[in-house]
Amino acid sequence: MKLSELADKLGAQIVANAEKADEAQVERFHVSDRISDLLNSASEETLLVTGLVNVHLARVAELMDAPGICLLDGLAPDAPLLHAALRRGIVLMISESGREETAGLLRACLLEEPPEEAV
Amino acid sequence: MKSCSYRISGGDYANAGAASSDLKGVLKRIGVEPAAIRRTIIAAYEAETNVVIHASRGEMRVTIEPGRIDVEVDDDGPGIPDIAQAMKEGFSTAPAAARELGFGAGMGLPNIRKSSDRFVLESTVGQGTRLRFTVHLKSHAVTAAAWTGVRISPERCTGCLRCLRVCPTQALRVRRGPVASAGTARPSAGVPHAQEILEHLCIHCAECIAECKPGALAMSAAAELPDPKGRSLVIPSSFLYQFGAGIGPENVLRALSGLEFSEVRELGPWHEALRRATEAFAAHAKALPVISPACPAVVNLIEMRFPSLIRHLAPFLSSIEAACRDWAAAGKSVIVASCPSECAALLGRATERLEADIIPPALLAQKVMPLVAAQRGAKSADVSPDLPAGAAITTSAAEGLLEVTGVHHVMRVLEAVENGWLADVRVLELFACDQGCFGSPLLKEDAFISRRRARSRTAAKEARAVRREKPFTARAGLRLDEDMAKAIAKLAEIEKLRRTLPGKDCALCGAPTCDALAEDAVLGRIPAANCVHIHG
Repeated sequence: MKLSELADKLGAQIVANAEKADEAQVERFHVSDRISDLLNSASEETLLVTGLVNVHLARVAELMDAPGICLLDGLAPDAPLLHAALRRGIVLMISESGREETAGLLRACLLEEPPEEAV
Repeated sequence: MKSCSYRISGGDYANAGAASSDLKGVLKRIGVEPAAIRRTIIAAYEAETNVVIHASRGEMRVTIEPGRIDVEVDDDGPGIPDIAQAMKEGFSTAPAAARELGFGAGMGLPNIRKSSDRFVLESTVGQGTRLRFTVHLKSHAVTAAAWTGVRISPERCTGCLRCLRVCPTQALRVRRGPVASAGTARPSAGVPHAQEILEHLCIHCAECIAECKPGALAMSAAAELPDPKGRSLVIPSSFLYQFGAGIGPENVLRALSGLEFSEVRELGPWHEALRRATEAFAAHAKALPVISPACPAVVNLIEMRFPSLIRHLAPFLSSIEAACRDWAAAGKSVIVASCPSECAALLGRATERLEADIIPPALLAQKVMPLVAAQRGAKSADVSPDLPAGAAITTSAAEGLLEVTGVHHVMRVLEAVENGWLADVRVLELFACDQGCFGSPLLKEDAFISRRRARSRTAAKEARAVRREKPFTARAGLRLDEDMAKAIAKLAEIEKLRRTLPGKDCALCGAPTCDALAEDAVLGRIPAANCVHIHG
């Protein structure tokens, strides 16, 4: 799904590289506040979702070719992160909602069916 | 050979990752394949941030040779007093400042080990730490995922060559004499035989194990049953139907409860959950038919031989991976794997935090046999009421689902999908073993019999399909060379050599076909293509 479309559905505001959000596609997302976790799970088609707001997110996204980062709880990125995202062409968006809610919306958008369906 | 080195300043968080970033550029320019870049960069970035967090300065040196990337990271940090402890996930000595930034989760060193093929950590308290790791290039997707799961006991090999003929991917060779110096391909009396598995071609199915009568090939798993106390046991449903007509699943479960495992869980419901999720996925899927990832060997086959069908795979873990991912978190488990592909999937790929022992079914069967025998008199009337006898397990198969079992059938069906001939099928459930997991050669009972006995049983509440975090990726198995021009040249050379061979595909040389023999010779796996028909 296009990042711009996702941002719409999340009600998230794109604060860096909005023009790229129409091309960038993601297939999955990963939520974590640990750099190692994000590093492990990031790919060309992963949206990184995190409560962190520092510049290391941009580094992880760049190293792993992840097209976008979504911040949570309406938290603004710190200045180095914003600059780094702009410079490296990473789409940066801010979701007003918290972790669970954002993850729920992303799951609804990216997964055709809920995987945790109990049997 | 290319080498580069980077200085890393401790405490310089702003530039943490700069070296890895530069290294990534270098690897890209050289044309290293993406999977190897990914692994190298994950490991390099973790190593680099470790220096930033713990030391005042350090250096990362990288050497790139054909086939491998070696990285060495030295620092003058405080050193690691207990390396075993440092290797545990979650253990960290990072200061609060680092943790606030999202570092110090205690995953760095385990991450490096997981991402690399070789990992050496040396440390002297008060002096510093030296970390070395290597990422192999050629067999990138293979080395990470595979460890083949098949154990070879060359002393048992009689040189019957049956395994060569059944291997669906031509991954096996039988060399005469010690493998290390696989000199001549000609049979010579008195010299022991040794199978060799070309790991980059092996899909971990159990075909060769099924065929190997002397037992030279077996599943590589624990040889002794670990102490069951306080651990959970995971069994394939087929295990419950291995003990003859008079012994039902209730009896086996009851016998198992005598072994002091904290709990016994079976995979049947997880398989059902995967099937349901795959069907639900198919309702919206772009590429039809959707292929269920139920059998890890089939997934391997698709990743290697049918990469164009990767987009048909439903993005879930196989049922054993899904089940063990959850259960391993609850404590150490003992897992009965039905085949090498399950084993390899568990160890190599998805369940990274798996803390469990994997055993073959026979080991548990042997242990539980006396207890099962004691159950022989028990009537099904006095077993717990929550285990009703019911319909056969396959009744939930919906319209539009095609189940195909047996690896050779599976390959033909995959070819049909590739050609677009299966438009009338929505979901494909493919199993490498004949009759699915019931047909694993590691199980004693005939597959038709055990499958007939299988009943649907109370569904376990926790069973569910688990979405994969990592996408399926094509394996480079068949490529002759990283460089396409060289690969084309090699292909021409193989063709030429192949034309000099008789084309009988007799396998007497130790390679399954004349084509394979020519390829082995051209790729340098053997010194020369010695054909018994030509060279006597």
